[in-house]
Amino acid sequence: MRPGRRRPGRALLLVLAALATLTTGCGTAGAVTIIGPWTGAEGAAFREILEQFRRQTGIAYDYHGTRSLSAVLAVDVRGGTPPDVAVLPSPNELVNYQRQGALSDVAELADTLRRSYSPQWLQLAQAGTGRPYAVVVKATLKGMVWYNPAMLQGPAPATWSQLVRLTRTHAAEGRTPWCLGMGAMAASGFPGTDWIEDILLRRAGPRVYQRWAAGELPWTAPEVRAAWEAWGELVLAEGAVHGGRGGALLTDFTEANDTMFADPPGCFLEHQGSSVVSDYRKAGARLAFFPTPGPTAGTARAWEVSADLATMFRSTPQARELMRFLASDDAQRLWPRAEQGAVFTVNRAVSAAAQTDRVSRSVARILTTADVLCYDASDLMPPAMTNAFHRAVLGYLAEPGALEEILADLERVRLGVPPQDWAGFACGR
Amino acid sequence: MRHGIAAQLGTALLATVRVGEGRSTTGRRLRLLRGWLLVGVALVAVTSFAAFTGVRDTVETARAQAVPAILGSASAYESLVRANTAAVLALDDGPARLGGSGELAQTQLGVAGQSLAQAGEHNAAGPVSRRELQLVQGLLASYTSWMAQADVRYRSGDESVAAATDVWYAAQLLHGSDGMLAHLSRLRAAQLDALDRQLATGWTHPATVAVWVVPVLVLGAALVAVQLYFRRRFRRTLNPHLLAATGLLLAVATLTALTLPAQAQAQAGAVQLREDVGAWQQRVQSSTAADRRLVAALVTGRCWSIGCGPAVAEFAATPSGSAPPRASAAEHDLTVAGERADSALAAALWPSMLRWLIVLCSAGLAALVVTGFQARINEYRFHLT
Repeated sequence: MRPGRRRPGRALLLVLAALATLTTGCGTAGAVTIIGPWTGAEGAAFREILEQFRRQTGIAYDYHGTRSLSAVLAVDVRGGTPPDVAVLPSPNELVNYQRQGALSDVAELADTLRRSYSPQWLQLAQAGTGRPYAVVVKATLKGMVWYNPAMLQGPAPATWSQLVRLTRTHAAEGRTPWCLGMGAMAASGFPGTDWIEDILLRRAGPRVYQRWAAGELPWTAPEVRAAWEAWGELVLAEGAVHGGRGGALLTDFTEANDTMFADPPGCFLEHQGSSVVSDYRKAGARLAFFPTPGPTAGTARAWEVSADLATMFRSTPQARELMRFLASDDAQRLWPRAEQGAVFTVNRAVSAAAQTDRVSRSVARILTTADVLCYDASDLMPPAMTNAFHRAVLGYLAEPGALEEILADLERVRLGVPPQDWAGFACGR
Repeated sequence: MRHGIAAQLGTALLATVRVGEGRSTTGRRLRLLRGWLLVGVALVAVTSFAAFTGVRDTVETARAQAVPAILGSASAYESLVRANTAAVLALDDGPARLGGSGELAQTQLGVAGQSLAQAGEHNAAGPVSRRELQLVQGLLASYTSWMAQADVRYRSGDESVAAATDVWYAAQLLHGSDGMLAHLSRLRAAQLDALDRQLATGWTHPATVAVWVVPVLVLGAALVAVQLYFRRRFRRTLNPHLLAATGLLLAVATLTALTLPAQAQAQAGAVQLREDVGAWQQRVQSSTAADRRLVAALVTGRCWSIGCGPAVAEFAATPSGSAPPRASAAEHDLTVAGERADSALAAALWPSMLRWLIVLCSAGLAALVVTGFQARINEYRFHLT
């Protein structure tokens, strides 16, 4: 080899280039950050969906689930560090963040959502505006009483008085009927608000419910008071609730049904939304439910529902891609499979066909065919009202004799909320 | 020497890329050898400087970020437990005592807030830990709200179970499986892992030592080989310039090798910190258990007449011992752990100026290589062979 061909100068440059490469990292595409209300099994199921998203798009994700989502998200937004996407369990938060200008719309999904959703769900996704701000990732049917079929072998109660009679008969015979837990971290009390909303809807109908949820009906109105009293008539009776009313106050709602399928069961009736199905399935239980009865027998026309809404706080390409994925028929089909029939979609193209068993199919059918769907009122009310409502049901269980004061306090809060803070789209189809 | 060292170095470097221009074969070979030696010197200079700086920066970052983040998350944990204990004691003692213990609770909540801020400012474990911190801050807002409501009820003499359930819900936000203490434990573990990762990757990875050791060895061997070549070719016993260059190479290697004990010291500090935090955790667990029992006792005192359900008893049944809160001992542990970790990492930080000494020695080394060859190259400048 000729000495002149050896080029130490070039070698020097190569050495320096190699060192430069060694000392600089390779850039990675940004991950999409998501915060949602699901932890445990629900969180794991959502991660499965996100994993599918990662496989399809190559976009990494960072999901954090917390049951105190509202408080956590409020701190994030106030601190200027919101996640890219948040899954909100409350439409009111969606409306509020939209009004604050904290959200980015997903106008590119307008046609998809119009095709997939009924007008009522579309209105929810639009947060009361004309533009879509959310994707309804999951719907929950409420207004149902789940029961252990081994303990309730006759016909299900068809009227409220039959339900009260059933409760008292079993309690008198030493079998505690109701599983009830009010604990829910920052949202403690919500299982009680679900009861009041459901009873009001069944007894007074969607029109009154709509006015009440929109802040137009006083808390001291006879219909509202009657709903509270009816609930009290059911759960405050001696021996009606597992652990007593104190036990109901001190038990987390996720643990209330721990003994429902034990032998012998600690309780055998539970007023819960359709998401509880996964708990029962984990317990290997046979499932059955009946609609919360109204004053008279008959098919329930109006049902209470709630929804989890994915919305975008940061408009990044990755976040938009995730929103597109969550709105897709494919993702909506994945959910029920991931959570073994405990997840229900409002997507008309997917609907009941995605469910694998009889109970889940009947829940899905109600969600897509009910005459009227009314959103969970406490999810629609302004935060101050929701918070007061949560605490009021706790106060009522602690001191049933203070109902008048409790309703008067709630009414004071209602009057203090500016009219524009109320969402006016509780019931529809 | 007719020209300055800098000018000679420039000429020599230029010659390395134009080695074929000399007339003599020996001259070209000398220029080539000098060129390769200069490449070796550059390589040693860059890798040694980078290794020294890299290790030092890593240790400094660990000292300035990971350690305060670990201690911040631990301190927040402990302050929250102490705040809850103080608040429950204040409520249990009634309105007359709400001042003393209540104030202590407020102070501890303040400390917890500052500790969370410290953990957030120095977070070394990436966005997942940042999110954990945000979760804790959100939960803390809810906790404070429940406790404030309990305070109002107790002050007003409310005898119902409602006041106790406010405390109960606050306690769930603190002690629950998705509560603040659980998140702070995860945060602390993530920060400890981040510290270990910091001290075991990049320039502090054990294999990275080869990045600077290999060039030093190769250059050292090359200098010895050139000495032997000069001895055979020019019949000179030793080239004093190249001998001095070898000495400077040893100096550069020695300076850079200081990073080896520094790394070991830093890693030992991290291990010690993990052990200290583990010991602190053992001690603080008894405070946590005692706090849970206090909450359970307070709630049971109010709910017994209407039924308490199984939740309260389960909450109180904690796995750790029955010692009363030993917050001061735990606090002492944390302070000691922090001081130990800080001094271990500080001892691993050699003065920053040493890196410039590496540069200076490397420059001298290059100059000696140039001057060591210059006389021979001059001899062969006009030779044909």
